[in-house]
Amino acid sequence: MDESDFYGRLVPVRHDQIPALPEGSMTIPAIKDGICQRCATKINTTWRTPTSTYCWACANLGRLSDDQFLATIPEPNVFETDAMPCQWQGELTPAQRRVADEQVQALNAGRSHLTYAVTGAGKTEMLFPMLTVALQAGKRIALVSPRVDVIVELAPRLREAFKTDFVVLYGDSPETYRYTQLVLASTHQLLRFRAAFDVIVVDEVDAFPYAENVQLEGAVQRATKPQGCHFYLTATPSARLLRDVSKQRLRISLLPRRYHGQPLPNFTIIKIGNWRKKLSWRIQRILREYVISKQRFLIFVPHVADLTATLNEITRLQPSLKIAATHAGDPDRQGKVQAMRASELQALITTTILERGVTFKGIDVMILGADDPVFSQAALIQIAGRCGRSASRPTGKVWTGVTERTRTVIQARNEIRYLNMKGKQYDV
Amino acid sequence: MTCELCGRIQQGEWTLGDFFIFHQPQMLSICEACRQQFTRITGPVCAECGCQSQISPCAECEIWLTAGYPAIHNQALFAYDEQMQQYFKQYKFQGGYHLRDVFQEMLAQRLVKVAPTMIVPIPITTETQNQRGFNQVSAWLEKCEINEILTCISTSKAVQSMKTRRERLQTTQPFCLVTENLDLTGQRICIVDDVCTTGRTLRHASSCLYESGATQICTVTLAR
Ligand SMILES: [Zn+2]
Ligand SMILES: [Zn+2]
Ligand SMILES: [Zn+2]
Repeated sequence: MDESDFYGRLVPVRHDQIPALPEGSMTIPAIKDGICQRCATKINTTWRTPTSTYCWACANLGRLSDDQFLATIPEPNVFETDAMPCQWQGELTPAQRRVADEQVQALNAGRSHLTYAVTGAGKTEMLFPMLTVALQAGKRIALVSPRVDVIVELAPRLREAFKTDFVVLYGDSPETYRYTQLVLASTHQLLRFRAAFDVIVVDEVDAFPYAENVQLEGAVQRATKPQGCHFYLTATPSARLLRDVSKQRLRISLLPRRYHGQPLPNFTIIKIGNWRKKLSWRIQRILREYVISKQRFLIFVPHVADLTATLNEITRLQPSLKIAATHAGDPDRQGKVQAMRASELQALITTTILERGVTFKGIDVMILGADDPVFSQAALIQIAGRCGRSASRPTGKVWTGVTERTRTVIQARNEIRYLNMKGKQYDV
Repeated sequence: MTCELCGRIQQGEWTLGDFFIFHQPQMLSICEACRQQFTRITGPVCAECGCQSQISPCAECEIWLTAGYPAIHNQALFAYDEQMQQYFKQYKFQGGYHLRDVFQEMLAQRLVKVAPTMIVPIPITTETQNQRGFNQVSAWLEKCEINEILTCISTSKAVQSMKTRRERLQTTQPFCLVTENLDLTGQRICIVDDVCTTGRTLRHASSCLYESGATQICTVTLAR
């Protein structure tokens, strides 16, 4: 192993490997006082083999046991920095420019910052000025998201925009770790780092429910240097983040307008009764119209178990429609998403997995069973946000099929209404 | 307690009996719904490998038998489908020793029916032992009386003597006995493994035990 592999990282080693570690490395026991030193989880009493205790909470990064150690070398920030790392040719709208400036100010002040921007506001591009300043200053930066899809989609865009070399790290990532100034990773991978980054950008910070976020939040904290700061990006901030804003622990920039200036498409709520038993005549009519208009669309259903049944029913009603179903565990998911992008498919049925980050130009959206508890308010707003992303078709329909009009659905609609109203007060 | 496969919180079902004897309801690391997802092998099976098959021996086993390998008589409890692979990934490859509880009861029941004089788990290599910390088969059989008399050749102390005697004959044989000159005469042995993919492992283990005088050998695997 190269010495740089230990910079700001926690590398699991066995006792007999310690003498061979590079100079300057420090080791701690992997599990100490019943607490995993990598993920801070309390070790459950059932997590033990006949000979040792292990941590199951972070076992998908390789199981750690109490006969192992974690080796690290304090982050030295030794990399070649480029004077002009950004080669992006595009231009920010005045509103994006304003947020970008506020991010740079926060960076210079060493303060953490929240960017609350509606879906399709161009969050990624807005980051470029701040990233450029940070890279020039020789800071080590991680750009993370709880969602692997977001990371996979972000990587090529970042490669195009920056000359700076970076690794992409997530569960099944083909890349192996090497020391780079910029790291693109799933939030989970931050567990392998300790006080490594001056800046961590968390995209789609609220992609997971609160409980899971707490664990990932810990990972973000421990991977940050004591003087480091965070940039959170979200379209649906949690109450906790907004509380941090009101307590002035976080600075905030609000961008309630999309880059093309059109309002967010809002939900068209339709009562569809027991849709699992029979697709209502209104849904059937919409499908008929889509077959004629060739308009591409996404269908969201609550559970993986609903996918096949819905696909079969729609194929029975409209045999000529080119449609497929996919979900997180589908081995051919990337292939189907690609086919949808290439317009080889007119429609895709999916669960909430495609709600964030993944974009298709000019699509409509249909939600079946939007009143199911799996669709949180944030998830619904994200789903609606798949619509009207391109300047060439800035509008779109969000058909929202419910058995009952629940509070969550109504609140999501009101939130979009509020953002659209607020948006009128802001420049594009 | 959270189900290790689907992540849902599972509540224990208290029966009236549990209540009277102040017995904690038994809760496994995988919830009832997920356990239902495993596919039991039922109906006509291949008498050799235990797979679900209309003909016996199945086409695959036919090849092994023609190649002159000894016959095996395997019973498999479950299909090695996506659900089982998911379980193996967590239990065996990620090393979740606590997940051994899921199949302990079922394997024990099957072994009671088989009623051998000796239960022999397929061994793991020292490297695997060091890395994983447990033999995944022995862990399932925690509550049964087992005889770990097989070991992997590459790591065995007997390697030297094996070279002179047997290596020329059977270079592919991965197993040997833990103690030489073990007399298995009269023993009805049941070999247990996690999954039977080709039957190769089981055939090698069988011939190793037959050579030491075992009278009858059958095998049980969790999956096929
Ligand atoms: Zn851990
Ligand atoms: Zn379960
Ligand atoms: Zn067979």
